[in-house]
Parts: sequence; structure tokens; C-alpha cells
Amino acid sequence: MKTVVSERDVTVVPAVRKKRKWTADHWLAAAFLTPSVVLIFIFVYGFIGWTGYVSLSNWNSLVPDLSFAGWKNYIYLFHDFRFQADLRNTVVFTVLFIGVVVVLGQFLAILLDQKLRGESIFRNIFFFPMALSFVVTGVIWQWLLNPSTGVNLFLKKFGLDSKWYTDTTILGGFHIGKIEGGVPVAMIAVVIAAVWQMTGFAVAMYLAGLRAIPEEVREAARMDGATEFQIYRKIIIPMLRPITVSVIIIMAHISLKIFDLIYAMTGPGANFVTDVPGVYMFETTFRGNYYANGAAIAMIMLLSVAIFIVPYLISSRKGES
Amino acid sequence: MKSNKVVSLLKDLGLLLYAMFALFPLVWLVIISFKHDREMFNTTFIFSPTLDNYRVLFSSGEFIGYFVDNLIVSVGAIILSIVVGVPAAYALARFDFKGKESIAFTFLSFRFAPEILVVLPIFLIYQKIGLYDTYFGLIWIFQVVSLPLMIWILRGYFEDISVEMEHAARLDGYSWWQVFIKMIIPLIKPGLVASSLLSFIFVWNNFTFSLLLAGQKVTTTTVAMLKYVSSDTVHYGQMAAAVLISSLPIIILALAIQKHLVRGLSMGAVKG
Repeated sequence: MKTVVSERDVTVVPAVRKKRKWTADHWLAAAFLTPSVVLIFIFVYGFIGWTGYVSLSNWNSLVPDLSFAGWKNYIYLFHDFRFQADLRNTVVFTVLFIGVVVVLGQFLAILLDQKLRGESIFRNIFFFPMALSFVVTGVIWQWLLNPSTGVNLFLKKFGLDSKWYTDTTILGGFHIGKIEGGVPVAMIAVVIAAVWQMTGFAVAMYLAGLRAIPEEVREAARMDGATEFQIYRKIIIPMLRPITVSVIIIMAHISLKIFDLIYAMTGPGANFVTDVPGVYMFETTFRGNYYANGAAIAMIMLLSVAIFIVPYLISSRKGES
Repeated sequence: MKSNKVVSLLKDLGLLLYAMFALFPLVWLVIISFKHDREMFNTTFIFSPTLDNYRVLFSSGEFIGYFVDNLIVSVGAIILSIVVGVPAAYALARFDFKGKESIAFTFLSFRFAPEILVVLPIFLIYQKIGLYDTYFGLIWIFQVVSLPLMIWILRGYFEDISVEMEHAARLDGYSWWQVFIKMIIPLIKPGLVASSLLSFIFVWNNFTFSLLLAGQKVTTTTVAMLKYVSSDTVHYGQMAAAVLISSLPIIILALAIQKHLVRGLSMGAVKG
């Protein structure tokens, strides 16, 4: 299949490995790789480690204080109204965003599949928002959905009047911790913007998956008397499952660390209805100088991304060998 | 076959509807960019078009400055990551050694870490050593963004070159370096172009690092965008024009290398 996770062969290292001298090749390889390895280790692992260390310290002012504080910052966050709201918003955003992108992406890809005329035009139209920065998307949708300008001037003529991201209502509200659980209506506006940007990417991935399904599969099903609809429902869509897994994971890591889109579009919002950990981290660290708290938020974000990414990376590595 | 026609009509309708949704913000931007500020709140589609927004944008020099800044840091980062990444990709494609896959894997992992996670130490270090708000400071951190992309794409291209060819050239008496420059580099040129353009998109669009590690002397277009929004007098028309001008080249670029963009973002999950 064409869609397997990269087809690189992994050279099998012989089990019996004698103590070999380093050959010229080894030296060359080492010389070539060292700069990149050093760079990545310092800038990624080193700094993540440092952030983790700060998150366990007492450094919550301009004066560096790296004395050990234990889990204090984390405990504080989980009791914090704003952080609890962030967690609610992240869950709501992630679920809605991924759900819509997966369904819409798959649906549009199937509509586009086997279309001869205009396929590339549609694909390009769907795809182009991908090219934009999340900030640009945020700015554009902020105007579009702004209650006093944008589409609302137009929609009002039809009697539709929505407050979009300025709405503070929380659907299905129930009391949990310090906050009101449920779906913040304002978050829907953010989901629309994110879906607008990322659906084209999902369409491209599903199209690649559809292309990889051999024509014989469809033909065999047709021979057996299956209708087109049945072929998709019973055969094609189940075969696209690995793509769905990839799409979900890629979208999850985008949505869990989202910052630019919301920072540009809505900010934290009234009562933190559109706040997310990324925005909180930014404000508390770089505006409020609560370094340890900010570092703790960043570490929690890393952990939430890792829950999705690590199993995926491990399984895709296994698939390679 | 009547029902088939109905089905294909419905299909087209669905595609058309989403295409309208996708294009609408772009159309809206174009409209606003030709609109005078005083018409912003009381008209939708009918207004007297003006080129004023574009004129102001280009006459002030401010926007051109942001654009040039963005170009300098993006190109700088790509050059730096080519210098560091090409040898690394070659080594990963050609040589066999223990832990090779782990190293390749490590490069990949940065794409998934939240930027906000590493920005705090970099911010503090940059302020201490004077790299804060400088071209080089941004170039340095951006090449960390583009390096993994570079290595992953180029590795595939290097692997497609047969080792035999390389050996044959060596046997003909060319030095390793000559073979590399005269034979290998031309062969990976398409990969070099693709990975550079892909990196360019990612770096050009980056916001978190530009916002937190620069912003006064060196300002990229993404950060500038917010300056327009947060200033007291909001000039929507100019903003729209600025967004369009800084985004159109990227849109064209992205459509041209769509396949690589999908691969780059999915980190090889789909060969496209």
C-alpha cells in the first residue's frame, strides 16, 4: 500500500557485533551529524528539561529563584479558576475541531474522489487556507465574526444575530470544580476558524488514502452487486481508518498546543470563555513574570501532546521496521 | 442512469458549498482592502472602491520594513539549516551505525513539542547575551524549526541515489568531496528546493518565536498584523491589504508544493 508510514528500510544490525574499529565512514557520519544533534539536544531536550526544572521551583517574580518548590505550582494551577476553564476549553475545542475536520475532510475527499473535471481546482481551493499563518486566520475571522462588522452586518438583515466569540454562555452548564462545565458558545467561533484552516489538509490526506485503494477492490465489490453507497460504507471508509488515525493525531497535537489562533482572534475572552493553556502561559510568564507557573503550564501542555504523539510515533516506527 | 446524474449533481453541490465557505474570507479580504475606512461599518458589498489602502501601505515604508525583516530571517534560517541539515541527512541516508534511527527520530520530535515550551529559556538567554530582537537571534531559532523538515525530506532524496553510482565515481578517481558537489548535489536539487520552500512557509508563518524573541527592531509580518489590530485607530482596509500582500506569495508557494506540505505536516504519515 502506498499509504504506509514511510517506506524506509531499516538496516538490520547483525546480532553478533564484534568490537569494530571506527571506519572512515563512522568518522564522517559523526562529523556530519554532530552539529544537528547538538543543536536539537540543547535547544529541544535541554530547554524542555530546564523548563521542567523551573516548573518545580519558586520562581514567580522577576528575581530568579530556583529553590525547589515541589508540585506547588501544579497544585496551584489545578485549583485555579482560569486554568480549570482552560482545561474545559481545550477539551471542547479539541473534540469539536477534530470531529468536524475528520468528518468533513473524509466527506469532501469522497466527493472529490473519482471526479475528473475540476478536481484540482477544488483541491486547491480547499487547501489554500493551510498556507496561512494561524495569526492571519485569527485576524481574518476576528473581523468576519465580529458582532459589529463582518458577516453579521449581512446576517442581521436575515434576522440572524449571533454574538459569536463574545458570547459568554456555556451550553449544558453544570458545576464542576470552580467553573461551569459545558460547551462555551464563544469557542464555536474559534472552531469554525480552525476548521476553515485545517480541513483542506485532511482532504489531501484522505485523497492520498483513496488513491492508494486499488481499483480492483471496487470492481470486485461491484461484481458482487454492491451499490456505490455500499462500497463506500462497507469497504472504502473502513480502509481509510489508518488515515483517520493520522489525521486525529496531527490535529490533536495542533489543537492541544494552540496559541496563535486564539491569541490573535479572541484572547482569553470574558470569564475566560476562549482561554487556552497557551494563552495563559504567555500572559502569566511574559506579562506577569510568574515564571514557575508558566513553566508548569507548558509542561502540562507537553504532557497532553505526548499522550497522543508518543504512542503514534512508536507504532509508526514499528511499522517501518 | 437518472439517479446517477442526481448523485453527481449533489456531489458538485456539496463541493461548491464548501468551496464558497473556503473562499469567502479571501473574497471578504479583497473587498475590504479596496474599501475606504469610513465605509467599513455601513456597507457590505456596494461601495466605491479605492486604492488608498495599498497606497498608504507602500508609501509609509513601515510595512515594507516588516516584509523585508520577515524575508531576511526566513531566508537566513533556511540557508543555515541547509548548511547543517544536508550533511546530517546524507549521513542518515548513507552510513549504517548503531542508533541511527533513534537519532533520525529525535530530529523529528521537535516538530511536536509546543514552541511555548522552549521559548522561556531562549528568551532569558537571548536577553542575557544580546540576541534578543536581532536578526541573528531569530534566524538561529528558526533554523531549529526548519532543520527537522530539511533532514527528513532530504534523507529520502539521498536514499534514492544508488550507492553504486557513488562508488563508481569514486573508483574513477574523484574525491569524495568532488562526487558530493558534482554528482550528488545536482541529483538532490529537487529535494533541496522542496524542503527549502516548505521550511520557508513554516518559518514565514511562525508567530510565537517572532512575538517573544523580537518585535521592536526586528518585526515579522505575523507580529505586525497584530500591531495593526491593537493600535488605537484600527485601519481595517490597510490591515486587509497587509494581510493579502504578506499571504499571497505563501499561498501560491503552498499550492505549488502541496504534496510536500502534506507530507511535512504529517511527518511522512502520507506519501501523497
